[in-house]
Amino acid sequence: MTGAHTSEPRRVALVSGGSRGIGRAVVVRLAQDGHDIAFCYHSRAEAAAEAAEEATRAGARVLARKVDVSDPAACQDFVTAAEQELGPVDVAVTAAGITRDKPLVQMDDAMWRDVMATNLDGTFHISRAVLQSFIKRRTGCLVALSSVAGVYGSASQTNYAASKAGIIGFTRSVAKEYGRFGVRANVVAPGFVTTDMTAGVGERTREKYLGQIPLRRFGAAEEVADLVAFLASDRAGYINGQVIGIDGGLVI
Amino acid sequence: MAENLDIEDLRAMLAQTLELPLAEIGDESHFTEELEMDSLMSLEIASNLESRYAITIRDTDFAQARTLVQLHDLVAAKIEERSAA
Repeated sequence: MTGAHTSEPRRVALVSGGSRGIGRAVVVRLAQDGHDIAFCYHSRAEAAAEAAEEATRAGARVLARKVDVSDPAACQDFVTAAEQELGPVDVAVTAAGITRDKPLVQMDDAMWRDVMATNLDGTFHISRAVLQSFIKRRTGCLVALSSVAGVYGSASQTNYAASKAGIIGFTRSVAKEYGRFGVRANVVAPGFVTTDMTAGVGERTREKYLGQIPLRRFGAAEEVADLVAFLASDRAGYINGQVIGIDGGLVI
Repeated sequence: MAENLDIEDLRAMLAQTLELPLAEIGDESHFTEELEMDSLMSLEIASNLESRYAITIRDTDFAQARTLVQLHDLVAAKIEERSAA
């Protein structure tokens, strides 16, 4: 299927963790903005099919693939397949993320490693794979999903916060290394956003969190996707190496 | 010397840690489903119980006690174990 809404050539966006939550909203938004979409997902084939269908309805050609982002070879294969099927990648958004919350003294090695492997290693694997083409073409844009937890810390989330803080250092370093090649790299740090990841929060805890947010509501995944889409666009052409919070004023 | 065990002391400890009025800590209120106790709160309560009653509570023990009454039984059993040792 080709882009129906514009005669301009469609750009190609690659999204990790695109079947659910913020990643899925990004898939749909970038498709609506005129991108063809390659996205990967870990396990929810049904949700991935729905996301693919939604992006297709928006006029995008779509490649959806099951990928374990902690596996470097699988990430490289995914990027290669995306480029073969859709053309050179213009934008990469790393949204694949998991939580395994526990107080540190109760956190076992697997909980630490699983979170670091998906969140931080996954960001590294996808970014490294797309950068090769970005450098050759002297253009490209990375948007990495971090979290307020990565900037300010979060009790019972030492693993998640460390992975998300790592993403900030990683992405800023990419910005410094590859700015000379016309590549931009930025970080989005959402606060509380209503997704599957935050769905298990109880009513009282939810009220407590809401009390800390000046806007008195959780964010929507679509609002984060709007920010990602802006950073991915030429309108953000001079924004590089930044960490943009989107948290309703939670952290001021 | 460990204090004597009183279920009302346990209720007060739970209320303080969970930041809830005493009246909301029912004998059979479920810790996670009704009182929204998270794992950090569990850790704090277990640690307080250990110091106050000179007992040792493993994570797996605490995970078995999901209400005030069950917690009381757990602490009573631990005190008995300690006394028998």
